[in-house]
Amino acid sequence: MTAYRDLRPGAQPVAFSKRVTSAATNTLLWRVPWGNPVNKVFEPTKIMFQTATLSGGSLLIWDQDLSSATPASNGSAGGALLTVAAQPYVPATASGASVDVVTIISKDQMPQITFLAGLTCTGPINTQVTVEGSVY
Amino acid sequence: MTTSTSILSQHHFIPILKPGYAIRIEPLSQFGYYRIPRSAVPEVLPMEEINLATPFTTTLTAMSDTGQTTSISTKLTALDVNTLQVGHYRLVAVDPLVRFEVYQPGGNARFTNKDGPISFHWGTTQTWLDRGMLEHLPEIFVYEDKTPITVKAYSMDPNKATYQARFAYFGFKYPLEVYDMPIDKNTKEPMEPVVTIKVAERS
Repeated sequence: MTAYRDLRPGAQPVAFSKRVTSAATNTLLWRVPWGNPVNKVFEPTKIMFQTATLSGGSLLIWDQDLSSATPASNGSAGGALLTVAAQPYVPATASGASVDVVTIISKDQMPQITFLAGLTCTGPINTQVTVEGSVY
Repeated sequence: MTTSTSILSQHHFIPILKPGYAIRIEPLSQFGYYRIPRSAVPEVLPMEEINLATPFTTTLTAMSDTGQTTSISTKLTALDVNTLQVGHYRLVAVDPLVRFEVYQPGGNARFTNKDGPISFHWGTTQTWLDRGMLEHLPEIFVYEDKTPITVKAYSMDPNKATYQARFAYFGFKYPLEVYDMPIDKNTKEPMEPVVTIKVAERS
């Protein structure tokens, strides 16, 4: 598990997963523990993005806690902090079944973006998003 | 000098007492001077885990937006030792996103500064365990079953409740005998070398 490797002193490993059930709605992936006295931030180290749909579309992630208006947001659906490219989904043909492909951004490719409020995203319907990272 | 930490503040976590060593347990008025019998030895207490939540029965509730949450507070007899014994432990958080406060006894926070209790969590303990820097781990002493600790677990995760709020403890157990320490009549100080530890008030 990437999250357990190379942690900075004091950091804690975290992993979470969420399914996007509507392409038209913003989806809260995870709330960062920003409340006092915890005051933590989150830094992703791996994102897995999979969808089983022909609708395509990218996975867009920005810094917002949809459950609370207290923490300031950073980014939006129109100005995402992280964009994971659309899936190379292979539809079913007469000669074979459809193929879902998982897109993975690993630590080496991950921009060092810290999330202060939460991870909110938009993506194609039935997108499964799994994120690993650390809280510190 | 009274100290709540090991006098051997080194990377190695080793017994602070050997057979024949004298120990002064504070508060002196409640405990006194003891010695490890020449015929007895300290014993290693292997790492053990305690879960303050109960899987599939009692959860540690998710952190609220103010950072505080309903803690699980448990008086732990699992760290107690037998009559005429002292337990010497270092503590490590096992589950990420859970922080712990230690009280000994009941209402007295064990690790404090002017602001109040200092908690520990995965990041502030596992980091040092990984690096072998055991001197940074929280350390406690327990005398017999007279000074049990109470541990409070608080969630650091605003997303969900959890059934896992575990910390681990490991260390040593010292067998003791009551020792009639010779005291200097003028200074009232012990006349032999002695290791001082602090437990807590008897509960």
